[in-house]
Amino acid sequence: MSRSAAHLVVFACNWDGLTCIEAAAQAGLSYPASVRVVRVSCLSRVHQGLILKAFELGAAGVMLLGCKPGNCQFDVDARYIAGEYEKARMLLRLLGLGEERLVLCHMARSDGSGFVKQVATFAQEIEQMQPAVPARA
Amino acid sequence: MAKGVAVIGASAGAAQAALTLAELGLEVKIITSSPSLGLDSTIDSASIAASGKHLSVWPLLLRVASHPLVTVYTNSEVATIAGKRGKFTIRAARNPRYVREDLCTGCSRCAEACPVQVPYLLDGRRATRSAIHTPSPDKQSVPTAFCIEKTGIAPCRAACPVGINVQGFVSLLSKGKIDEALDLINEAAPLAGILGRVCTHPCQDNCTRTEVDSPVFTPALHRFAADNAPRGINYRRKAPARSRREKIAIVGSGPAGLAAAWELARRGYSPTIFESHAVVGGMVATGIPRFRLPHEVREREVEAIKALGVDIMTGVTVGRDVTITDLRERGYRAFFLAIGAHQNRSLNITGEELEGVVDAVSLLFALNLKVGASVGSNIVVIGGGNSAVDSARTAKRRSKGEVRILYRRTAEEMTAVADEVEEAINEGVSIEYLTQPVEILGDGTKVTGIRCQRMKLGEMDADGRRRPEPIPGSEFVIDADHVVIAIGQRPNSSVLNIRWLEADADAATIQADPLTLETTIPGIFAGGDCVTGPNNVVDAVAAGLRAAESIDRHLRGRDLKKGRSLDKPKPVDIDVREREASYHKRARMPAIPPNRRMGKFEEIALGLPVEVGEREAERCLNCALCSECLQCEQVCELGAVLHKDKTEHIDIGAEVVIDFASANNDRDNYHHERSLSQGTSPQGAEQGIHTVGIDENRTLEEELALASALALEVVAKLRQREGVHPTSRDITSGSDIHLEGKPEAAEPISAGRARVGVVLCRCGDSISSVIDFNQVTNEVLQLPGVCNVQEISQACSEEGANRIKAQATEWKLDKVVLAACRCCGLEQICFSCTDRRVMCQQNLTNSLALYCGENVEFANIREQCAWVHEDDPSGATRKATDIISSGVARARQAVPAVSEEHPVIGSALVLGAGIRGLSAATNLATLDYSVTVVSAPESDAAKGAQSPEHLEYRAGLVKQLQERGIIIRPWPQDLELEGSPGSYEAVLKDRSQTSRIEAGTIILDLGELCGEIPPEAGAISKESRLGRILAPSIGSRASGDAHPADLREVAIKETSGIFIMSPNSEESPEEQALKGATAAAKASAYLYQGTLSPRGNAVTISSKLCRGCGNCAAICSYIEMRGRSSGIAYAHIDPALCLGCGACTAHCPTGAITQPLQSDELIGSTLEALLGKVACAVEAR
Repeated sequence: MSRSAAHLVVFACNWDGLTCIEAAAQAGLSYPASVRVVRVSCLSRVHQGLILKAFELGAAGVMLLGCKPGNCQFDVDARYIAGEYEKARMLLRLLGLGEERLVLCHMARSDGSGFVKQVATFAQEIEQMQPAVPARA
Repeated sequence: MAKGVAVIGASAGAAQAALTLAELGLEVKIITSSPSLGLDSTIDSASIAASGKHLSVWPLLLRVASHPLVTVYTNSEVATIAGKRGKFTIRAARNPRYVREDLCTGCSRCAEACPVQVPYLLDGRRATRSAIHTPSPDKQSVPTAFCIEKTGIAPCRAACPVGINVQGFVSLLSKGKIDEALDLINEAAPLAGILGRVCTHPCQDNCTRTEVDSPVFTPALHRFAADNAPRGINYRRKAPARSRREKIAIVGSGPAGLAAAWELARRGYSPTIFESHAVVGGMVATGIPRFRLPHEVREREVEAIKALGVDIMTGVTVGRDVTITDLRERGYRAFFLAIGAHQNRSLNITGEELEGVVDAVSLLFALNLKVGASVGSNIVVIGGGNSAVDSARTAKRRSKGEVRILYRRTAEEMTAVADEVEEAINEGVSIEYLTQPVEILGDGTKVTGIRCQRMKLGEMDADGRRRPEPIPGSEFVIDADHVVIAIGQRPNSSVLNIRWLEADADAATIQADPLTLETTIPGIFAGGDCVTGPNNVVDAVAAGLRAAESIDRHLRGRDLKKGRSLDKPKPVDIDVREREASYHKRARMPAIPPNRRMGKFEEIALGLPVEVGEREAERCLNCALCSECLQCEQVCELGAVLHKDKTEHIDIGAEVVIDFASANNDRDNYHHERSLSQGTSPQGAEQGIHTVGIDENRTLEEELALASALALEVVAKLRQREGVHPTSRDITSGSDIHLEGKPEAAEPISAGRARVGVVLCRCGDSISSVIDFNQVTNEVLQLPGVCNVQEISQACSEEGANRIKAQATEWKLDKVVLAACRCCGLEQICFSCTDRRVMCQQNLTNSLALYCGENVEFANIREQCAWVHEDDPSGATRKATDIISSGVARARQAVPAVSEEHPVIGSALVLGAGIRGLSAATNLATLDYSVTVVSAPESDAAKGAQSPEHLEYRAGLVKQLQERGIIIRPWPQDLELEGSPGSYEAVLKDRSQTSRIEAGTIILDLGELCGEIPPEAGAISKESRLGRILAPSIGSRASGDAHPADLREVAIKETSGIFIMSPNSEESPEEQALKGATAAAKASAYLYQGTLSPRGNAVTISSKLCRGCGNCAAICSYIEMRGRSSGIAYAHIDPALCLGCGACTAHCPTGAITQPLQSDELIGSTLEALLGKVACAVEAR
């Protein structure tokens, strides 16, 4: 069986981020099966190391999916993830992977169609890029 | 038994009151007329919807519904409240939901199968959804269970003599489900191909769509189903084995006889039909011309009935070839006489015996079934019924000459179907109205003409038609060489030769009981035209079905009449304006043009083409909403759909009633207890019923505050009455499942060595229809550590949990990975959780008697896989394997922190003695908690800001506290907070002395502490522990209520035990007191727990690895830097204070901070599995 699909990792915040993924399913929408969701307590739990880990393991793109400002369950908002996002982008540039392989999305609660739109567009963009990691033996 | 509290209503307020009551150990019964919580048309739902905050209350609703002490009665309309305080009985009518709440998982396969779209309002806009749907528009609801919207029986269905579910089959046809439509028709009656062509279609006559434009073309659709069903007719599919041995004879193979045979066969009998003709079908075969009903259609139906085990003996005339007595001797035990009415009435005028004068029955029989029968060239048909018109049209096809019908009344009185009359005229048949034959003229042997007279209409006669009267002197003669007399038929029962069988002297009809169709002789039944006189096919079919029921009862020795009636069901009333009507015009039946019909007997009506049929079916307005097509019942693997659900009356006992449902605009009336005294009167003065009125201006926060304060008041009064004052729940009684299930010092499993079992939940086939479970099983079994994979139908049910337990026991599993819809094993309830997921965890906790979060790892393959990849089953299957593989990886690695239980001391410390603080203290004191109040330093600014009303109100509270012996201590020079949540210790230092106050909870009246106006001027040092905890609260004061803090506590479950009341200088004294009561409610619920354990995803900080950088303390106010003897600081957190966001973990440079359930390693191995690396490695092996 081939596992060539360019996987996309979505780090989804357990609160509003996950509601979008749930709402998409409840509304009967669909998106590529290459999208893989990692649930985290809050996007502020994610740091550049974890983002890079996803790429190291072969992810073609990473989406950070969190809440709109003011909706954070822990009153943290994007205070910490914004910095990690910038640092990871810089590293992706340095490593030659391309910073556009990482996106940060703040979505309204239960915006299923918004999520599907974003993730499908992202998947399409990634597909048009060169392979993320040159094939290693 | 009257125990606990009844909360009427489903609003967020009702839910909050119920939760507070339950958390304080009371049994709660929520009674609501709506199908789910949070949907009542009370104040809050509107404001919640408007502010988009409905998801904020979601965790609250889930906590309430899943609390072990709470029972939710949905769809329950309160009728009366009887009794008095302490002993109420609430009588409610539980309206049918048609879906079992205990079984439905909300997989929505039913909604996909449902052919009916019903209109509803979504955010004020008109939208549509399936007739079976989730109670709330946004799909999430508590309980999850779907419900069906039914309003009754559609007029078309109510009008059908054989009870065909017309709306049902039409709705199925609209979705192209033709086989299903035919099956549904055949649930009620056979002979769809015949009825679809020749029924008088009362369904169409009663169609509501007539009010919009023109009725739905139901007859054409009936035929459409019969002609186009790919599987064809197959009555055997649903017929039982031939289980009944009793022999039954049916005399006559017309529609009545065939229907009776069909119904008897479906009941397990093998009846025999005796038919005197060589052809089967009675009048359907002999009397209805082939161009209206082709022989093949009839033969198809007959064959299908024969295939059921019905024996048809043709060419046998009962009474002549064999008698009823003979048949009795041969063992026949019941008889159904369905001989029809084949004997022609005569005109009783001269000339009827002439050659060339025939009756309609003979003519139709000859032209329909005999080869070479000829007709004259100048044909006159006498009569105005169907047989006259059929005779004329049949004759016209064979004759090159003229065909005329003579009818003595006008077109309006003709009993023939109007469409057929029109077709006859189209085909060139002429009709002479108001014309009556007086004498048939002949040349001695052959007919030559008819002498007629003109008529006029006179008075009404007995059957409601105007009586024709001859006009004197109007006689005239017309030429004719062939006269057909078609003025009606009558049965000929004498041929049967049955003694004692009574028949009507005039009409010759057999006398039978209208309901049971039993004749004057027991065991002999009769129906169809031989009982009614000439009638239509559908009534004959109805009689056959009714006779079969009677025969079955007769043979089983049951009462023939009990529970039966001839009353038609009452159709539902519909307001067509509320329905969505498709813009399509009524379809037209394609037909062979009249000029190409002559000389041929091909069927004229060609039937609707497929796309036209579907579009025509879409015109149906779905009068009854749910069409009862039963597709949902067939598709539901869990058997959760219950179309037979009925209204039930339930009695619910309660000591106190809180009514959130009654309309009342008095804002402060929650203090006033009103009663519906002894049942119905709302004006009663009995105590014990609290009514919370509707106030559109009340915000969600105010609603929740009001509700919890009221709940607290109820608890206080109940305890006072009973004289018991438990300050914490009885921990040893084991009423709380969460505690009962604690593992008994289970041996720690070292990481990577665990025996893992995997459970795949089919979710009523909604997961397994997309994901190939066989392939997943094969691949998952290859994963390291996995020793068993089991597939179950429904993991969230009790049965599911028991099966998982059995699997765990049999395979000696250390860990279970459940691949279903649950995402985590945490205590928290997030916005995307559902009651089924909560139930799933509760059931697993109960059955595994272990803490779920530690021994069961969850993997969501429903919303995160099957439901969003329906279009890519192989991709979904691969992904599911990877998701499960990530669960297995986590299960093998996660070594949960040993969670300690802390005791919670039953005392409270209130800091700040404003109205809020004092009110909180008073309320807690009422519940017998020991309370200490420390008043903030008196500042002139604070004093000056107080209005006289505030001061007076405050003084009142001070007095109340003094009466209870609670003194208000002055603010010390220094106040430090030590200890842990649940057992804090406040150290109050003054110049002369130091005192320590132990408290389980701390309530802060920020208004008094920081001043209503200048929030900076605080009494608590910002650097102190308390100051740091307070900092975000003070900082975010102005930010408004983006998400109410109270609701967040519900979602993640409050563990800190610190309750902060924010200042608001605009609040009235009463509003401030309410805030205090609300805080007291939360604090007492916290204290009532008795013990406390940190949440599962709390962080731990290793002091060894910490190098004291202080990053984490800058992120989280609960983390404090402590000094070491070496001089290097280290970070410290009380795990019970940690909210589990993980921000500190992400920013710790040394890895000193870890979250056991969300460590970098666990996220790493999750990623590895999700990206296919694990399965890849396994395959390569």
